[in-house]
Amino acid sequence: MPGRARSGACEGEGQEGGSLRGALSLAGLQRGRQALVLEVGGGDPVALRRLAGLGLFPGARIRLVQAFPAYVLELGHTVLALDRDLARRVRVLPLEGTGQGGRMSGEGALRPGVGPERV
Amino acid sequence: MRGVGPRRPAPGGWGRPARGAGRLLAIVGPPNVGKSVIFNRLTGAYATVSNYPGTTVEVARGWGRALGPGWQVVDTPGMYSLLPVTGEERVARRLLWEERPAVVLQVADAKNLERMLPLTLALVEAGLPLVLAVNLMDEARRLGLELDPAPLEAALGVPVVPCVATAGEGLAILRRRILEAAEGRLGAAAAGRLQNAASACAAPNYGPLVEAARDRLRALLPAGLPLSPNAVALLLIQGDGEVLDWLRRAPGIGAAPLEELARAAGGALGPTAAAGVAEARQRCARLLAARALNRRRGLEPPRAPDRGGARRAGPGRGFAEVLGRALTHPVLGPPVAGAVIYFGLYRFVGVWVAGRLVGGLEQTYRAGVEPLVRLALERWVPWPAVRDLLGGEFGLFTLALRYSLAIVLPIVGAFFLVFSVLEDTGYLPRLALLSDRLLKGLGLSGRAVIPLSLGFGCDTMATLVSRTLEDRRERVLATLLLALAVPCSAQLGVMLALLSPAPRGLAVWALFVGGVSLGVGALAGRLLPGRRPAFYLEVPPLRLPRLSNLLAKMGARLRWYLAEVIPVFCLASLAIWAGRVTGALPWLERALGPVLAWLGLPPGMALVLLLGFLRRDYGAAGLFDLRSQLTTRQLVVAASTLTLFIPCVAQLAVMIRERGALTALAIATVVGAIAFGLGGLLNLLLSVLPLGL
Repeated sequence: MPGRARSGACEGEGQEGGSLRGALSLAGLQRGRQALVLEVGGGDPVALRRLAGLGLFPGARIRLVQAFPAYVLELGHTVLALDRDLARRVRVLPLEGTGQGGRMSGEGALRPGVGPERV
Repeated sequence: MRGVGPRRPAPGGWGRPARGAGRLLAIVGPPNVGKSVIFNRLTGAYATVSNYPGTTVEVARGWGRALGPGWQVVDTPGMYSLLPVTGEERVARRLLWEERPAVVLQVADAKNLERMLPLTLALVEAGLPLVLAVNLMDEARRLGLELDPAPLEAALGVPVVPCVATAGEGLAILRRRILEAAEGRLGAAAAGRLQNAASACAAPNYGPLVEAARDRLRALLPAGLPLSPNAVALLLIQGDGEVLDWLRRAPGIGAAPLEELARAAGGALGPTAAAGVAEARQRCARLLAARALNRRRGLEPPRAPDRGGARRAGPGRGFAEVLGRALTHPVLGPPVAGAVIYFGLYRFVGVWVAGRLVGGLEQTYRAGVEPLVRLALERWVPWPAVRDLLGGEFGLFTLALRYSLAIVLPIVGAFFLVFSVLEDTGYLPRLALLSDRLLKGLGLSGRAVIPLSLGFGCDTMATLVSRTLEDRRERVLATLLLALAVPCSAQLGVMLALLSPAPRGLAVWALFVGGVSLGVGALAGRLLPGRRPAFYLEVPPLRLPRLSNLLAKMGARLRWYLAEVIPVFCLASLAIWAGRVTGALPWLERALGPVLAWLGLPPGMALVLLLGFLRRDYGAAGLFDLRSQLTTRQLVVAASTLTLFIPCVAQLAVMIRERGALTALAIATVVGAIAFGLGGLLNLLLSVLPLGL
């Protein structure tokens, strides 16, 4: 799967990121909503690796802050700006509530991207 | 200035530098975490910035005064991962491989520790003598986060130092840890500890497939590589061709193992393995970060009232964040950007410094230095040609040095100051975010706003800065637009003065230049092969800049400027002198005859065009002198053509140096053809249209 990363947990449940009920592209997410990243696709492997380096990978929780002139999202304590092309390639699952994005504050929120850790 | 700075150990040398005889500290980490602040603190800012050999990536080096005699410090370009994606990362890693630093200092952002630790894990695994500085602790504390370094140190086996570099907090401890790390062979010990770590989370689990391949390749590697065999094997599995090239040059490696290593590097495992390795490290990093970062009880920032669930209840909703939002707001943002550019660049750099300060300085230079030069030449230099070269109208002292020291230096210095403020406050990424859509139309991305807006100050400078753009296609497009479309402050001033008596002419000029620029930009963006640039950018929090950091930054840039630009001016001076001595200049003047006829301009304009290219103020003044002999239509055509043409020879020289001779000449040809071709068409059009011009 070059140039594409997908949440392992979703595959484990036998569901494709794209067919998960309620999943949509980041470009279609309502402003202010929180979402779980299911898939970051894209033709540009450099951009993809960079975005992963900035914390945008399957399983991450984000909050869309602004949609114009660029998409602005919060990932943990990082604020990230994306253009429309990239935003379209990010598939997300909207979450309940509008709390802060990112894993560190995820008390009680849905966290399907995080499997049991190897200890 | 290359060569003045500390000498670096011979590249490709296989031995770590002997103890005491020059030890190297390499600072690594992603952008925006305060690497250069720590660099400046350790070196006292006496740094040289130069391109890494064979690349256009800049690396800053200095003596590590704060560490002790013989210490060198190198600030590497931004690095997110040991497996490089960009040219910057490649350089950072090459430096770790070739120069074998005594200590590697990773600077990390405390707020985003989880995102920073995958690189830490990779560096520890590579057996590098690492110290981890967890910087920006002030911002983390504002978010209610506190760092406990102990669990991290135990798990990673490297010293972990929380600090606030801008305020100097934690730097004394950091210094001590660096020196300790240099004394002991901490690197190897840490790598060993990591391997045998009781807690599995500190050693990423890459899965049986990757680990088996790694162990097999590890056995083929020679001893004494700069990175641990485990790390080298992993890089190869992830398809890293550069490491393979290095191995080919490494001593003590046989042909047969090399072949197998090459097979592994080109193997099918590559992209999947890279994703798997990254994921394993992220998992590990998440656990480590959760252990080390504690949310302080009672210090949770106040939750905003929950208005209809639309408000975010979370940390950090302070004044800075509200302001930060406003700066990128689709309605509020653009006027603020306009005000920042108008006051910061136009009023301060353009009007105040370029206008008043430079005027005074230039007069002082002309009145104070030039008579002395002439006097000295008359007394000691009997040869007229040499006198001309040194002190003639276009001489080294009269043109080159006056230009670079009295005119451009203050402008560039002021610009650097403004630029540093915009950089340190975190405004530049916000400006890029705002302008991304606009620039997409020209085949560029939001990042290009920095060189393009800088071009209205000085296109030469801006062409240099366009090297910060990520891909080559975007750099070429920005260079083209700077050469064609963006008039520098000097040009702009003269054109406005020339045309303001004829408002209709001014309008025609503005519409023509604007239209041609946008048209050519859009066309070039479509024609130039390659992917449309993707725009993604981390938006750092707004920060209050510190004067000492601003001055250190400005100083470092100015030293770099002096070393890079003065030679260009000297060369231009030399070229004009050679043109006059050999008679090439008059010949060129005659050759321009047909071009002038096509533009409908009198033959006297040839010298103006040539000199305008070589020496901007002379050309402008020439046009100004000829003004009474020209009709308004001729003025409009001349002004339009000159605006579209490359502003000056210094810019052409920088274009050649930055983009390569072939690309630069192609751009110059295109720009020349457009300027003179469309200038002639404009002349024809104006003679037909009933505009009264």
